[in-house]
Amino acid sequence: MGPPWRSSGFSYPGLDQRLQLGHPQFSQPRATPSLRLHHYRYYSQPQPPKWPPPNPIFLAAIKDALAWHPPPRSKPVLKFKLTELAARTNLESLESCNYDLQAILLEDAHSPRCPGSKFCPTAISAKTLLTLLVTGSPKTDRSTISRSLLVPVSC
Amino acid sequence: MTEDELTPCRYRFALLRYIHKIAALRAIFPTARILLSKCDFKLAYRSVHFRAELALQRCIITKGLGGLDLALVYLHTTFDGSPCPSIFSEISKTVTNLTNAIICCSDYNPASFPSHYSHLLGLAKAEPNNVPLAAAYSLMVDPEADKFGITDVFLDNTFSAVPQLDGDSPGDRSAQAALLALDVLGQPLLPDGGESLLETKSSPLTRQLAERLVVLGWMIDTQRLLISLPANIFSA
Repeated sequence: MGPPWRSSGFSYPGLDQRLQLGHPQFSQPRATPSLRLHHYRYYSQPQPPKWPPPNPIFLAAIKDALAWHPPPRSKPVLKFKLTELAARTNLESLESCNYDLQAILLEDAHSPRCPGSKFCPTAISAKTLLTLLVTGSPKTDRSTISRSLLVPVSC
Repeated sequence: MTEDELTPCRYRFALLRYIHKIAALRAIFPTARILLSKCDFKLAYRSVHFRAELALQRCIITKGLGGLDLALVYLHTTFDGSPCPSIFSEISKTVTNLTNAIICCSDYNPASFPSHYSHLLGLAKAEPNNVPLAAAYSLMVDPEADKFGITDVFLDNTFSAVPQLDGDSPGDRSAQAALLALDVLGQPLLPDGGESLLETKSSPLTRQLAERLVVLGWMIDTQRLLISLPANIFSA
């Protein structure tokens, strides 16, 4: 009984011979038969993959995301210079908030120091990514998209 | 944060995957030029912030400024933080996924969906015609390459390879899609250039479509199907 892909007509130069000789590298084929079958179809009869029809929802989500404009930036409450004045200002800010750094950062919503300041709002990006998850092409790595919906812009 | 929960980052596999995809493109389109492009994220790890709790756990207490006790608190993930490459990879992989999805969307036209970065893309640079296009050996794996080309990523570098087919604008669609994906998920390019995800200060040449391009530190020549170490990187 030959390898399972033999019946499909697939052959790879030298591979069958090495299988017969019990070559250690090939005695347990690493690639699955379906992958080899795909290889055969792919290179012997190159054809463009059949993509799903374009989904207007996906492009509409992208248009919505592009239409978003960020609010004007504000200066951060905390100072980011290695000076005594900056250290004292930061200490005063912390004292005024009972040393709750998280509260200061969240209060600073429109400053570059606020978590997520380099990204578009989660509501918009999540909409685009969810659309991609639902309508994505076969090339879409759904596990990455799913994970990235959970990956925060702060960790 | 435990290491087991992080997605592994393997440099060697990103480069191997890219080379395989280029070879697959040449196998499928033996007479088409393959144009490469790349773009970098700006201050990659600094796009991600630490929670206040984690930032305070990581702070460094030292003496400074005339003997004062000083606590240095890092609000952004840092370059030397061991989980940072994996955390940022989740973001860059998402951008790459979105790029690939946009490219494969047959209704996508760069003119209809211009990104704020469109003007930063350099003109395509093809090599002279006197060198024949090298033929590719067949592969034992299917890298899922097709006429839309491919975009891949390693940490903060995204890189594309796209075949230049007859009647096609030379790879422009692919490179514009990468910029569009960055634009969709990141802040739009502000007049001060402050908070965009794309590294806009780098030379336009680095975002130029070309048949010879340094990707992940290696010079890749799609005309001859060669990979070599650039002299400056070798000497470094």
